[in-house]
Amino acid sequence: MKRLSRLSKKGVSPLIATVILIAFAVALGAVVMNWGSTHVGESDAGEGCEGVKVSWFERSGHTQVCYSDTQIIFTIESNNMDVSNLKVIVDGEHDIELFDDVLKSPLNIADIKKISIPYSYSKIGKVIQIKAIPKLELNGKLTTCPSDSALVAENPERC
Amino acid sequence: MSDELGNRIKELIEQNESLLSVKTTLLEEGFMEDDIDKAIHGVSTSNKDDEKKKVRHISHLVTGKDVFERVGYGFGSQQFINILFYISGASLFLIGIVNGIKSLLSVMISSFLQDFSEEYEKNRSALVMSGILLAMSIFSIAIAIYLNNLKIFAGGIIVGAICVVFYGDLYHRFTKTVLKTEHVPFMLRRMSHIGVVISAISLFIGAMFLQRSSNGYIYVLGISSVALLISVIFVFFLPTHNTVIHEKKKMWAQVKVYYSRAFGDMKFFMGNWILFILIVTGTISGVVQALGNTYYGIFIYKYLGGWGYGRFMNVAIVFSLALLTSLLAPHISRRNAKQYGKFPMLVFGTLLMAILPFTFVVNPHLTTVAIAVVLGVIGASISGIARGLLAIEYIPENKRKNFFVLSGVITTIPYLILFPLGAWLVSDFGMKYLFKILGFALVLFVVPLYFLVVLLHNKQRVKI
Repeated sequence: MKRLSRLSKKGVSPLIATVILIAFAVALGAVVMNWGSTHVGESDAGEGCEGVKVSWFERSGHTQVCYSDTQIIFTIESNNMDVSNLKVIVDGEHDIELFDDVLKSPLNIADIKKISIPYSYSKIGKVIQIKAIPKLELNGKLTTCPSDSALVAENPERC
Repeated sequence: MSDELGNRIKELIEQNESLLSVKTTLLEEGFMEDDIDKAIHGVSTSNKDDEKKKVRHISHLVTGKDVFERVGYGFGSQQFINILFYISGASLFLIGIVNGIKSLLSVMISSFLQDFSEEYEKNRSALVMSGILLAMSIFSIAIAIYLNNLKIFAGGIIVGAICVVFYGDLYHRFTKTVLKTEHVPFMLRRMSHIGVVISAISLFIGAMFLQRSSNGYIYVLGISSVALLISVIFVFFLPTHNTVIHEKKKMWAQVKVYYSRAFGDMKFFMGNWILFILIVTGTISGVVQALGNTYYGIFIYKYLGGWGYGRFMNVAIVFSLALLTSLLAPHISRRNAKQYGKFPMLVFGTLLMAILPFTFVVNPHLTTVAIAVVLGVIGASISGIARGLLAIEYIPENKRKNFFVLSGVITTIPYLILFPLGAWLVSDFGMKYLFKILGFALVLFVVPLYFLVVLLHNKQRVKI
């Protein structure tokens, strides 16, 4: 009993208290960061393709979309929800080409991703239009949104 | 007869005569002792009543000023102004740079004023002028939006930041001279708490205006500047304190004193590892907070607008929560500091602060961000209070002020480098990228340094 009371008076050393508090803060952080994700993710899906908003990322006022002889490069950001993938349609002078699932990982809300897709100038010709159509996971299924929610770049510049 | 006696007593008291000498004089003038005693009692009671009336009058003025000032700050909140700047077409880089200049000036002026206000505390006109300029700078922001002129907007933000520091710091000193702490009525003593609630309510109403009308900014910024002007009127009617003003120093002489004071004890502070680490970590934490606060509101507005109650309302919810938490945070901090000790609280507070930027990166949703903001405010308060307590423990009283002045001066250097860097990162890689770096700066740099402080403290204890 005496020993116990002496222990409680002395308390833990600053070093041990620090370690305990670090563990507590990390656990708290993990809970905060994971707790919201499933809860809000469901609501996101409920809004679906009608609400999805993706945009070309702008750097110093310039839209980051361009093409070279061998690839099309663009930087895209999601403005209001998690986008599972993208379907890109490139409309060129000679041909139209479709690229499905160009994202290696989902484009989450506020994410900015630089994407490059292979392209052949000799085959497709000058690029007239690039269309990026978001794909969302709705009710557990990957769904391509209708083309009115697509992001369009007309007559992009050469890189 | 008694009126004549009463007036004569007042006359003698005004000549700074003691009650005993007043009585002697009056006896010599032929008044009856009984009459003199009764009259002296009556006069001293009425003097006490006069004093009470005066204190009540000053308290009313100070309360009125505080209420309107809080309304002004709520409507013209930093978050709203940054969002309006963004909507007006300012790039994220420009917003970062302007906020960097603003933060830098605030830190510098605030530490300068620790010296200046010793003299200026009696200078009510400087206080009134800074209040008027503050109101005008907020109104100039409304004009800038109307004219779509980013230069006026940026100028308004910077001038406003300078005036806020002057108005706040000088007023604090000024009221100290006109209203002694022991006389402050309960309502006024609770004003810092009530003021926070007023600011939070104003923030909500402001968000409603901004959300409902495209001209909402005119109402919001208009109300803010008018409220600040009214608060200035209250200050104008405050009585000045009739203490003798010492010899006035020139501005450059003050600057010289300021720097010599800052660097005077540098050897002492730099020689002590714990103090040195406290300066470095304090600086980094300050920059992280200032950079984060620049973009948090814009992030919520831009990316979380489709959620909850609308773009501006979401911002108001999150930052009202932050304000209300700031009421409780110091109590929680003090309690924990007693329970766990100061050193562990430094690490814990910093980790709590890091949760906010990481939440924006990992799981940016209204609910999680709101919780993270609450934790961030508590964390900032915990580490702030722990730092203060450590400064008290490690620095002798005569050097304490110099420590804070030196911290202020040293802070300016990283501000000059890190703010443009942060603004560039946001403009080229997005806000999430910056938040990731801010979180890692706290976790990988500040926390290990605090851990080092714990080890050094342990080592010193063992030596003792």
